[in-house]
Amino acid sequence: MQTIKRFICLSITATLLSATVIAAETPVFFRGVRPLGMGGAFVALSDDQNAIFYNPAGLTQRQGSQFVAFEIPINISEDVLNFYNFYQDNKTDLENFDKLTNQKKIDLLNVINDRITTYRPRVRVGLPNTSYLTGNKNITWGAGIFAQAEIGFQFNRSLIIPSISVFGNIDAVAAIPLAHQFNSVPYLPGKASIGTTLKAISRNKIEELNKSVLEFQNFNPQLQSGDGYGMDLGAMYQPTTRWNLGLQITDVGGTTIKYDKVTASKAGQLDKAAYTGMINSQWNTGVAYIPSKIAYWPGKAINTHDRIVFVGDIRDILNTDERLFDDTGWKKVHMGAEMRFGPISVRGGFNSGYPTFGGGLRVPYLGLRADYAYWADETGRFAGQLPEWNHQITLALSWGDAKGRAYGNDVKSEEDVVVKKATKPVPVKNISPAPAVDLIAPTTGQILVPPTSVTNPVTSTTVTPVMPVVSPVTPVVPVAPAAVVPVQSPATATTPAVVPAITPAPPVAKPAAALPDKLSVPSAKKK
Amino acid sequence: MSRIVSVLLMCLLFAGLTGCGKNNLFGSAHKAGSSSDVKSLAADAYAAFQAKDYVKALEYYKKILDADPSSTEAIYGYSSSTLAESGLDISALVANLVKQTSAPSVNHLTPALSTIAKASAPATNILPQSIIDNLPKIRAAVARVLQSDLLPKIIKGTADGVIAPDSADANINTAFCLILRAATNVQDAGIFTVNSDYTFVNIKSGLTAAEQQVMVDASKDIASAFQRLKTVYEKLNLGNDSSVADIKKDVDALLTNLKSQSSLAGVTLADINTDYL
Repeated sequence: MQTIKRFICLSITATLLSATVIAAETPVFFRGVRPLGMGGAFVALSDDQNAIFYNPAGLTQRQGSQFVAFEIPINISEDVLNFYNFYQDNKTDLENFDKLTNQKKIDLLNVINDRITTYRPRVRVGLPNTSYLTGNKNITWGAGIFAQAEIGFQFNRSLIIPSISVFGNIDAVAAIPLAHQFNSVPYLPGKASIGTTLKAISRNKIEELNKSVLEFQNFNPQLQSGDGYGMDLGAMYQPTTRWNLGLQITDVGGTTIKYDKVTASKAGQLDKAAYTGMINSQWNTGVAYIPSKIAYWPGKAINTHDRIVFVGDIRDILNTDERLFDDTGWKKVHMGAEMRFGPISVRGGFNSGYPTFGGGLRVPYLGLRADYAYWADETGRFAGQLPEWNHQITLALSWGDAKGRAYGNDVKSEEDVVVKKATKPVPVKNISPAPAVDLIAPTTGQILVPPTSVTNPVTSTTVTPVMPVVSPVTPVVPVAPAAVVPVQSPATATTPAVVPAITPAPPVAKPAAALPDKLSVPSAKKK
Repeated sequence: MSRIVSVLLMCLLFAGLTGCGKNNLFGSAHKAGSSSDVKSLAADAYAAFQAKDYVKALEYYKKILDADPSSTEAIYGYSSSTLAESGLDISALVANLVKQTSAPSVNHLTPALSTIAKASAPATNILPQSIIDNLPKIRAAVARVLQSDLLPKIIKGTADGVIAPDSADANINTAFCLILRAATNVQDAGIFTVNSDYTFVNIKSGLTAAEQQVMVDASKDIASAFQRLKTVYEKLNLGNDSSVADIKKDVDALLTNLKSQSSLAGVTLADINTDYL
């Protein structure tokens, strides 16, 4: 515990120190199409290759290895399409500009001035990314090589003569994630994991900001190369098999990128001095929830089969420039959900408050995967100020996706396995009276008691024997298989003291609405 | 049944999200201009400028300058908003400049700007009616941004230096503002007009002391504009075929012609190499 405290103190100090560096670098961050579809939230889910950048501790959730090859993300901002559409709409006029009447010229330039100066076209293309992750082992590990090129520009109105900003990076990262899971946590139920990602970074940068269009006549962009090493830390706490809490600290202590000097070789260029850039550390937190069922009507619910996951992140919580408990805090909020139907995924959410959509299709045996996301990044200081809308398509060859935590029926939680095994021998029709107790409702804590206390179960007397009510809330108590005592079965409720507390109800034709659809899961794995 | 409900849930998710359109869920959490924090005001001002709400942008930039008069970014933003709010029609200006450069005998920028007040001479007036209609406001805006607490503060390096004194963008734009001010002031005084070859026509004879002062001020503006362009030219090591080099030559020619006029004998402009800003 002392070590953990020391680690936290050191990390906070390092974060605050690194935050004082003025010339901050943009983070080298490979955003996955799956998190982007879910509003950018992934810290507490992190069950696939994206965990390398979102939270390496999440890798311990995996039930098997994953290999991703030739993952190619193609991301364009919506303004690229707007720019293209503008060109298509005005192609003839632009090509024959000199022949236009003066008024038509003015009209066209007005459109340019009104529309183009608000555009921020940007393209990002990933070079084929490759990664490998092991399943959960004593030390869960992986390796990956990632690269992406990004270029964008923006017209600014300026005073009289407009200016242009051109910006871009070519990033390459070799990353090694490591993680370990603790099967018990002192004083707390559930499990915890910690992880780290070690990164070697190479960055080539173009940054020509607010260049007058008159300068641009002689524009010769210069790439400035730099490299550095960094480390991310992650932690994940799983109080139950359905809830995850995540914490990620990126670029612990600040990652420095050392840039080489660039000497101007042409007219219009300037020397670029060698310098050291700093990627500031960020603390990101998240929560993920995989419900067992969702109530859609009083007394009605569907079993999700683990096909739905809800996620929420708050990113960069310690940023002293844009504070969490201020108007700037809303920009840090990310939340979303994913639904899976076999090979098809549907995603949605809110990224800094902007709605996001996403989807994916995978061909399991061939390993083909295609994903899409549509989202907006907030480029201003406050949520809702200056959105940049984006499309991203990612194509990949990938094997082992289904061994992540949130991949539907492919993986079962321990809890479901336990409950189902326990309920299997109990014939539903014998239930009388029919208590409205959900097997995995919040009352589970009273239901699942150690064998020694079965004779004196602490059963809530507030259980109301009305029509079965299904709660979407999952249990919070860890389950031991031998301790499961389904109270629906009178045969196992050995103490009659419990029964009088439950008012008999009329026989119900289908009393066990909360029961799992399938009573056996022979293929399910237990850790 | 569960499949139907699942599909319905999915539809509901889509309907919910599409119902938001492109609106931000937390868009109303921040009220623009409500914070006294300089960074927040700067963000609000930039967003207002991008949305072409120049009145709001001016209001927010003013608040920043009240709190931090040396902020070069706020000075630049305030100046840009002032010119934009005055109705200076950049599109019309550029369109007319393009027309000017398309004509074989008229290919210089400076006389194009100098004809800004020639509403009565359409043959040489390259500026559209939209600018002429707003001329008093534009003239006032140009004069405002060239006051000592705005653009000259950036160029002289007496502000915070975030926009460097030798910034090409700041120097080029300041040069244009200086030329614009010189041309409009001289034209306004009705002293002379300039044709497209930088020769002066219709020079008023027997200038009064006040008119001579206008000429001196105009000459100083043009000399200062020359210095701005010289700074850019030297910093960027531009060749003779660059636009900046062409404009620099134009300004140089204009000043030389101005000084050579016999009727301007009383003008006491020292040298083009003096920076009067």
